[in-house]
Amino acid sequence: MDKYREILKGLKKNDCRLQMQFYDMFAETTYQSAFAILRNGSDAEEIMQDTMLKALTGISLINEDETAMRKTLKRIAVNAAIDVLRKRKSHFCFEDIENINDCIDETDADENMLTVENIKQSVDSLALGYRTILVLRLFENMNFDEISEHLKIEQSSVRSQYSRALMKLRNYLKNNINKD
Amino acid sequence: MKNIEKKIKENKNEIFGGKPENGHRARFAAKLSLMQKPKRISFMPYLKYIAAAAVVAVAFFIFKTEKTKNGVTAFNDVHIDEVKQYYAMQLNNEIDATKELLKNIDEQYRNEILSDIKLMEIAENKIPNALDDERKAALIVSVYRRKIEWLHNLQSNVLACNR
Repeated sequence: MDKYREILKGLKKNDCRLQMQFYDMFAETTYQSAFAILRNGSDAEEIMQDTMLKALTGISLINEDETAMRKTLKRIAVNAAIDVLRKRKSHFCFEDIENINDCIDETDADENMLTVENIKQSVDSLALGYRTILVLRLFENMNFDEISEHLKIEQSSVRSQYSRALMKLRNYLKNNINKD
Repeated sequence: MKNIEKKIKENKNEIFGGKPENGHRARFAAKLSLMQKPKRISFMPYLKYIAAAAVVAVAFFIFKTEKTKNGVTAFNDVHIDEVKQYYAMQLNNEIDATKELLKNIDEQYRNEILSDIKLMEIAENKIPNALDDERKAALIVSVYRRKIEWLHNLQSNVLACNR
């Protein structure tokens, strides 16, 4: 924590070396937040670096608490990543996810199928909207209210889409991974 | 359902995460330095290189002019290889100057910059054969000038960080 305070002092003086130390402290987690949503390294890097520049050049964003600072940077990166998705896919709307006809089956996939690699593969198979909601809920640990705020959709819609996303994951694991 | 959620949460970094590509730190340092107020940069460390480049340029010009006077060749007939050689020498001088500056910075940062310099050195080195000599020369000059300019920016950033 002392090191962080020392860095904060340096930021006020525009000390380049300490600014880079600030970057080193938060770059990776900020990058991951953007990457989880965009799945593209160069876009994620751009968002991460823009976020860090915003923090370093607008000292008002700086928080004295390291954990709160990390959270702020992650939230800025998440919002920026969602904006990128919206801009790139102007036709895309988070409410506009196709109606699925999968029957509701609450049972989980076979425990043996739940390997990280299989789950990763099934997450990648999800539609963008489902995947984004899954990322916000399970990677960013947001509650449904926060997700609803970020995506600007009804909380009830977030809940149902989250359940559907999990169901799709499970179905994918059962139908695709089992056959390999 | 709970099992999948639990498994994802436990392995969220592996499932959703990624790592920035090499060189991200150097790229950020460059962006940061551009965002900040212009800083006074000392040109003293470069004077010897600039002076050496100037001497070579003048010598090159005199040599070519002498040849023209003797009717051997015209200045316009400078061979492509000579143009390339001249700019390659300037580039090498700038690379040496940059490496000298990098001695004072931390190892990880230095290695990232050195690998960027290597990439820059090999980039755009092939000249299409289909071009005539004049266009080849123009292309060589433009490529080398861009590389030298890139090194100048890098030197400024490193100097700013070293202050």
